Amino acid sequence: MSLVSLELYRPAATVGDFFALLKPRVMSLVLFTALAGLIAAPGHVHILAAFCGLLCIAVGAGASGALNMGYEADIDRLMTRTAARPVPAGRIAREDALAFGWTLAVASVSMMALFVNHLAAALLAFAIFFYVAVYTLLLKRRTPQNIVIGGLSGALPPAIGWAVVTGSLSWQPLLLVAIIFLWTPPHFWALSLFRAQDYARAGLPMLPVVAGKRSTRLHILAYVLVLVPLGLAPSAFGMAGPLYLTAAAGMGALLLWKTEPVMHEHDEAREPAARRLFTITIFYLFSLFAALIAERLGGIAPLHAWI
Amino acid sequence: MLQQVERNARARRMRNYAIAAVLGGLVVLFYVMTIVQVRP
Repeated sequence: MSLVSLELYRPAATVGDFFALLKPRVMSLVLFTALAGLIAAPGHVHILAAFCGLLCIAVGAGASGALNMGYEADIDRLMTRTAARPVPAGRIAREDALAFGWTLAVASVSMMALFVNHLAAALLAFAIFFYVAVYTLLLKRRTPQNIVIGGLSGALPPAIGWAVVTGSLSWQPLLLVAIIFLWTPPHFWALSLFRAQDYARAGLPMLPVVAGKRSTRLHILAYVLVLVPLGLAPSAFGMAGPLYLTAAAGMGALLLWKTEPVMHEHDEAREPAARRLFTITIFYLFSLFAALIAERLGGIAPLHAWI
Repeated sequence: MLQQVERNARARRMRNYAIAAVLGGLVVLFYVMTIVQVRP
């Protein structure tokens, strides 16, 4: 059988496979936090420019995902969580994933520069560059601090959303960036606790593999202890109102409550407490940004106006 | 094997439709954004 006919019998990539390259779940969280930055920003932007900005952010996030899957296909193949992805499973060639990702990256940044503004385009380009070059290619295989430093790219969307409206930056979007930046490590370290064997098999220097689970639990606690008060800061500094304060305080208390069992987990094989914490971290971030969006859309005044 | 060939042909056809839809959407978006931007 010739190579050409063999190619005909290989499973072809579907539209769904290319969509999976965009990491849609990550993209949805990126889009949501960008939307919060966009809605929280003062001033007015044409509805189509706002739509275009959000589309560019979504496509840029998808491009980062595709590039990440292209460059990490060798390690994705070794982990059960990622082995079924289109590139390691052989449904999409690595080169095709990279071409797809770079095309989307250039298209999203160009569109943002043409139709929105240059600051938003520059921030989007920086976020993509940081995720692909700094996190994926430089840090991920070298240091357990990979997700701490690399988390900056995932934290930037609220600042990009803010820049879409204002064309500038200020302390408010940077506060939202800081919240996501501090949220990222405990979220991924919780995941790494119950996926430690996967990471060890792939040779990735995640914290439980390099420093052990005890150290990882202490790191999670330290970051949560800083994250929870920082989550309250938008209310304290007049950026958010009572609804946000309630969400940040309630979910912050829940986050602390769910972190405590992780600290003295006995079932190190299944790590049930870390699995629960991983889910709660997603709800935590979602609740804070949902409250921020709801307050702006509902016209609820910041906290200092109530006192 | 014949089924696999048919599946591949269908996947290729759907990919072409998806590319056409995305390109069509971009053409409309570029057109509308240009109108919005050049409007005084």
